[in-house]
Amino acid sequence: MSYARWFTIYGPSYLNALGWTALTAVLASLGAVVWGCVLLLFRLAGGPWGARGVDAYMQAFRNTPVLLPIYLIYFGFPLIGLPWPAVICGGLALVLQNGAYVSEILRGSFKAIDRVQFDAAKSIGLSPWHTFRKITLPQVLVYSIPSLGNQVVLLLKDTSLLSAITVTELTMQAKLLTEQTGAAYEAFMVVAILYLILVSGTEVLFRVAHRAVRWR
Amino acid sequence: MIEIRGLRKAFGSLAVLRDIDVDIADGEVMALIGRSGCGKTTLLRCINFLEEYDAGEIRLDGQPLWYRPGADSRRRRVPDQEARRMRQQMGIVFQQYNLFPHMTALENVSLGPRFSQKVAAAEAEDLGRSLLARVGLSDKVDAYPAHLSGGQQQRVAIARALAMRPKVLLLDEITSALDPELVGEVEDVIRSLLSEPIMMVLVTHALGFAREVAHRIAYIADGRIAEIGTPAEILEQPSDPTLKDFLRRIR
Amino acid sequence: MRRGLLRYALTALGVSVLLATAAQAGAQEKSRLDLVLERGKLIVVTMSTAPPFAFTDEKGQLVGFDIDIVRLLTTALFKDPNKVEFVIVTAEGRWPAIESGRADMGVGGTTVYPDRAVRVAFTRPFIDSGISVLVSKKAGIRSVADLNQEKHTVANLNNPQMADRAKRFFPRTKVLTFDTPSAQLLAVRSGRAQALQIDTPTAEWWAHQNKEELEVLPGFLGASQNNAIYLKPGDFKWWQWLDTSVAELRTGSWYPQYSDVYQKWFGKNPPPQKFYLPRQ
Repeated sequence: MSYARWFTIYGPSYLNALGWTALTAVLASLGAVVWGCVLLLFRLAGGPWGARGVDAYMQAFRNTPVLLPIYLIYFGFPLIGLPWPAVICGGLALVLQNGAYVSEILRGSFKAIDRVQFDAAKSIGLSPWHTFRKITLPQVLVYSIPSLGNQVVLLLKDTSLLSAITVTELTMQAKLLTEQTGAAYEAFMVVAILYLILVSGTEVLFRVAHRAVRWR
Repeated sequence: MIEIRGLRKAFGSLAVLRDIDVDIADGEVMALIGRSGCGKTTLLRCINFLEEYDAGEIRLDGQPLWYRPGADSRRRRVPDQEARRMRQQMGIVFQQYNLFPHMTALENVSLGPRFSQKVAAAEAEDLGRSLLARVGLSDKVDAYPAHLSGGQQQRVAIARALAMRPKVLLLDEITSALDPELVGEVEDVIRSLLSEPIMMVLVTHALGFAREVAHRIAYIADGRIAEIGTPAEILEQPSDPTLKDFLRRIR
Repeated sequence: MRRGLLRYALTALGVSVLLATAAQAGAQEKSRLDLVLERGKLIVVTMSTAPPFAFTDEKGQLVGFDIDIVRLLTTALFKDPNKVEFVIVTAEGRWPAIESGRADMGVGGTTVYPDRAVRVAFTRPFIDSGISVLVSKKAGIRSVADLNQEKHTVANLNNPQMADRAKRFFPRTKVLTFDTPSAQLLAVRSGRAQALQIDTPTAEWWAHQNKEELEVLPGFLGASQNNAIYLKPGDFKWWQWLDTSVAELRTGSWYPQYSDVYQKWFGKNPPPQKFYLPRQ
């Protein structure tokens, strides 16, 4: 079957799946960055126990494949009375794991901030919270843009794992079409191209964002 | 006025300040000179508690700063919130400007009033603009530090310190990092402040400038104030042999 | 930047066209039977979570009725039941594994459907089966009619036959779609779904393993189904050997071996294949 014909027939289902992939990736990325910031705050301001807790959290999530939290949350939460929709469960798993990586990225960037700025912040009477929000965080986030871009790309690719828990994103769509038509190459190649476009788009977006920062 | 009594400070086994006693009167400009590592910058940082100190007392207008006597006769640090309030009575300008690179000149200046003193946004901005005008940077309010010269950055830093309406301005070698041709514009800003009823403590190697603006000069050696007096006394009739040597080398 | 994006897309398109044509042009002259004999090993694609047909036991070994049938075929080819390599895939991964030639044939509770037979070849069935509904006892579902309510959810595999059956037998029930039988079972056990549809022997196996939790609804979804070996269409010699061997297993010279395997996994003898033979 030609790709043109393939796309005319199945285009709408792919677009729908593309929507789910993009939506999950965008929301989970935002969630992961917010959660990463919270973890960084715990590490910086939580004292020795805060740092230890964050370390333990890192170990737990960095040393397990992301499919595990996806399964645990999707199949485990109903057992404790939380039958959340699959896309929420999957998104949460992606946020929890990628948040761990994001907070490591942010920690790396934190080291790049000139320490003397914290003296200056103290000298004008800023509270630790305002120092974090106004001085630390904006700089850390900007320094992290390139690495965050990589992490978002990884997260984007990991959304394919949500096909294991009924989310009709791109990979699931390819699986369904393979079962329906047997044309595995066509089904997966279209998806591969769509992923490539999404990933390249993400990379471009982060490069533009990085360049748009005027103060560096 | 500032009263400092019996101030001691050690980094590990290295004693940096060994019993500093000095008063600074209202409106007085005091210069601190001495060899590198003599403790003058540490003294400055102890005054506004960027460094903790081991013993001694600092008072501002009679109000004891930074520590309170504890119940068991050991002193306690004042709570952080109170320390922040005390610190707002002082401004400090650093050798390396220490501006926040992600903020415009105006944002750097109005940040303190806005978030430490809870001044309304518009009011903080007005204050920032007028202070930047005062240091001659009306046309740079929206510039980021990376796009300013060292002299301009240091002037923003002075405006930032003044934005807290401090009683004391602490100046830590504010012209040492500047190219020689930029020193003048920063010194001019300090000169313009001499008419204000503000105390200044400046750590400096620029003896000419110290002589011009300071009412008194304190020579610090080995963690002590080795000699203190008017600029004429210190620079022209030094009695301490190490001060004589210091002056000879620096000229 | 935009040019970079375009270049990516074009490269990807080029690679994909290349792969697809390569796959289509891959129809080899030589029969796979010769290839298998030359290789000295049979390569079989299967699923690993469809008990009792093909699943992983407590020791981590791939076992099951279908696996044992494959071992009988391997014995016929090489006089050694172990000269076989199993490739384990998810439900939809079966078809590309065959089409690409990665595996010689496939088994694993795979049902024959006419629409499936358009794109893969099947041998005659080596076992018949039905599709049953496995339910969570907590749900209080007594029949397929009970299941047909908006408040219930059924777990499907991702093939269109499952979706068609769901539409036909319980159109009101919500549907979740998974890519492995094990995920279907997890869905029911975690309360994500109240029921699942699967081959009757698999449903019975799971119900037997979890007597307190699960039970099989009486009756079947539709008539009986046939499970068969699937392979890439067009290779007559290879298909002929497989089909002949299945015929011999079910009704001919290897019927005793077939019976043993049937007995081992289902605890009873296979249904009599010829009416004039006495029941064993």
